Amino acid sequence: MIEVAYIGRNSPGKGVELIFESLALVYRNDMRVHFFTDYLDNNLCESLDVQVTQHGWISPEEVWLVNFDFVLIPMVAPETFSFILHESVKNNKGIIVNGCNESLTSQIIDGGIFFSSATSLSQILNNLSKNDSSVAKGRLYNKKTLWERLN
Amino acid sequence: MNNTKYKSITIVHCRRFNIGGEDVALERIALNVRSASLLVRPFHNSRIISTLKFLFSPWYFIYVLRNPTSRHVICNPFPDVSILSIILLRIFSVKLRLYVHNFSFSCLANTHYRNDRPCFKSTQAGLKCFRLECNKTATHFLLNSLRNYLFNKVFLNGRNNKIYFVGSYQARLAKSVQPRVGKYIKVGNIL
Repeated sequence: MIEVAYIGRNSPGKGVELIFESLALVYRNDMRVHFFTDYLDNNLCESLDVQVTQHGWISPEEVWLVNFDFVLIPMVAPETFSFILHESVKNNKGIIVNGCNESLTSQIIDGGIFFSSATSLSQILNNLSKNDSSVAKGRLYNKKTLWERLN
Repeated sequence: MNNTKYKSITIVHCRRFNIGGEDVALERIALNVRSASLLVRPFHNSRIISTLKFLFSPWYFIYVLRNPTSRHVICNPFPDVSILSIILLRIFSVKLRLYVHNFSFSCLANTHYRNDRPCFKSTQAGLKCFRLECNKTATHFLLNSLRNYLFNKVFLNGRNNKIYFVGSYQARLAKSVQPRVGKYIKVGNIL
């Protein structure tokens, strides 16, 4: 079973609609998508071939205890700092990132899987295997922390 | 106060209506950095009082002078960190830091996002994009303009003041529209 997760709010700009647009084109039942977010349309989830698990809002520590290999970061709106991106890398998860969002890609040195549209994301998800997790593990620019900067 | 050796870091943050990334980031800093303390000021409902406080309240000036061994970092200044306080602290040569977690230096709506699409009109127009529709109401628009322009202008006039940006992309956009943003520090990985 390929386990993929989306973590974050379900609000405009976060790209949840882009995930569902692509999942409609994913034809495999050996994939489970975990959603750590607020309300999702149940009818929409049930219409998909992939299995959808809704966790709702749980504490950040508990999120990383759930078994998944990849984190979807479909963010459409520009973002100054993505916690999910940083936490995913820190927790050794593969990252599947919206490559059109320069604010996200500029934080990644190497690794990661990038998509440019809902169609390309669906192609990636259709061909995704457990072996891809090493490729998908990203490395981020390691800048000094705020406290290190101050001292 | 120029030669003060800082023993701690004090972050003052006026909470916005919605809890967002910056609130989480600041809580993480306060949790992980032993010498950091976070002072969160509550959200105010009255816009008139908030605006008056933002212009004339001496609270922050007094607070900083009472804590001289601490490095003072401001996150969201509105409404408790006033323009008057920043001017007075400049006279007293206090070094201040502004922690910017959003796009407020390069976008009036702080997001570069409009009509479900990324929008960079403000940067293309050199921050001359005054679109009312990016804000919820005309009052929001006025308060945003006041905060972004007046505060940033006064803050950047202080020779000792610097800005912490959390991302290089954000810093680049800010610099492209406001050349005065020369003295910035990339904070980067704050975790």
